[in-house]
Amino acid sequence: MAVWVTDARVLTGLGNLEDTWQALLEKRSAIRGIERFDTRSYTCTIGAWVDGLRGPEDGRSMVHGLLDRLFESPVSVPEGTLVITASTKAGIDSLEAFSRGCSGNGAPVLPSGLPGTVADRLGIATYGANVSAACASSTVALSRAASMIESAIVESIAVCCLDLLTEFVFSGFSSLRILSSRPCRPFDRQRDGLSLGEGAALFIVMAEKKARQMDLPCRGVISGWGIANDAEHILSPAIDGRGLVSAARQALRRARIKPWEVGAVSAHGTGTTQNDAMELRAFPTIFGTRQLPVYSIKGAVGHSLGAAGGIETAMALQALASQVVPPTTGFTETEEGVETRITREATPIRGRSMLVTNSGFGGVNCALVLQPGRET
Amino acid sequence: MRSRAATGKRDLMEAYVTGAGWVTPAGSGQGRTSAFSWGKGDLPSIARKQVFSDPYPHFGRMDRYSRLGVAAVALALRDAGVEHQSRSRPVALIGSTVRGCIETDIAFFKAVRTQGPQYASPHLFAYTLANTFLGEAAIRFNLAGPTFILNEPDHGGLFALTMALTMIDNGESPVAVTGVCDLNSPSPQVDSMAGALFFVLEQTADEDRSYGRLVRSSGGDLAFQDRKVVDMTTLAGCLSEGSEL
Repeated sequence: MAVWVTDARVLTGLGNLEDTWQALLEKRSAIRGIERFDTRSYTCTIGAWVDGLRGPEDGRSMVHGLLDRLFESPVSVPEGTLVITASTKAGIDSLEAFSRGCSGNGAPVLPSGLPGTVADRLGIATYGANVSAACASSTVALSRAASMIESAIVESIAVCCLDLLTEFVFSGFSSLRILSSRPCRPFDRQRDGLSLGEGAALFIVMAEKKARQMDLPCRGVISGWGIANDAEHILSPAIDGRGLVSAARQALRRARIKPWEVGAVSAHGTGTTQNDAMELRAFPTIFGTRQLPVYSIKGAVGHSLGAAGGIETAMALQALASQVVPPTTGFTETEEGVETRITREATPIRGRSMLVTNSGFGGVNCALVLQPGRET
Repeated sequence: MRSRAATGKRDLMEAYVTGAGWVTPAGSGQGRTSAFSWGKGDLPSIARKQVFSDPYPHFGRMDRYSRLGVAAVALALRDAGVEHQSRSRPVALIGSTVRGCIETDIAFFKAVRTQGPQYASPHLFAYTLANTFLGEAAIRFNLAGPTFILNEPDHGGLFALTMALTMIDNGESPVAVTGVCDLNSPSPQVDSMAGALFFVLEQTADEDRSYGRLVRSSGGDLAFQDRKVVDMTTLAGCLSEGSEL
């Protein structure tokens, strides 16, 4: 049973889906000086964030502001749609505010409360759970949605992905010394860390039969997925990328395509020395000597943690529709000996499929195979 | 053997329950040697020697939430007889939780707020992700399958159980370890369930290793050996009833 994406929308520091896509093509970046909290005690002072979000000091978590913007235009969902969400820390800003003595009136939005909050927004009664898989949360959530639809457990699922740029997360990544003091440079030989971001994405994922019955457009097809754990270290990826290779191969097998049929890769590409090195080893293992375009958008929108894969999947669907993948903002030159073709400019896709990959703390790796939308 | 109706829906998904392990206020245990009980009150503190006979120094450095989860996963795997293997295995780890690592979150940010960002603990930060303990279990037991947490609105773990069955059914993993894991609420006024309870589900199992068959009907109902299962607690109860304990 084919799994269609009938609606996709995003919110990043660059704006909505169309604005973000256009900004990617123009190599614009939302990474800039942080105003949301005091960064004077940190060596990094930059990140990417959504303008105008009001914090818990004003009575509620910024999560609600993100959702307000994401749902600015109505979302139509069929009856019986299940909601699942993807977030690592949800409304952690409320915890921050509470610890600072701000009472507000908004209860902390725990990840377990997020599906119900989103279901309320959509006016539907059925919700499942929040997926928490570190920086692979969104792609894991999308893979779960596709899996449930393929297994005929449910016909329609709304997947909402989000994470905030908060001092909680910023201080943690700073303590790990993996934040760059400059906007991140994915896969670049001079890369020295990541830039945090925030954002949200929403997908309506549906069984093809249901979508056709409702005469809904097909924005793309989730044709394969795979998840695997490195089982090596909770903070660092396995050097040989074994988990990512396994996840990608599972996804390709499920999609019934060979590596040579993949047109391009939306990589995790955080800009850290270790993650990017791992991917630069994993991709040749998966694709051999073939020079397909590989890109990362985190140099433009920052690393939005649990929301990253959702935003990247939406951009990959846009890339498939346009048959062009964006340049990797922040990338100028590869390391010596690296032959992977990281995009410097908008690059045509040769092939009908794209691979979207994410890796995260806890050793998790997830890969999705996406194919273009179909005529209905 | 599964049948498929004309609509394309499977009549049922199935897996065999081969292990159960838990740590609760009533104590810790395994399905084949103890009867399950949540108990009430505070969780016991879990020392490495209570669960692991070999040196495992890293266990003591985990946060409380992770120690709870890893201990229960260990007991479940041990009960199933699959705790240790030298080769990497495509076993899925799916945890369900309501509160996740909130206790660790509070401790981490307290240091940042009261002492300053330079005192943010990188070690503690690693445990401010609810899925970290699954990563610890993956490392300890060589489990290279899918790992993720499901934050559910209640302690039943039903979504996780359904997810595990789905993954086994559609070939994503031949084995899934799934369970619930929650510490006591950080608010003392809140009386909430606490503990960890994990099961090992397998696509196929020899009769002498299996407690029985867990099935999901196309209508969504779960049943274990023809007894309705509404959450992980009732599944544990079914195992206890079916055993000679």
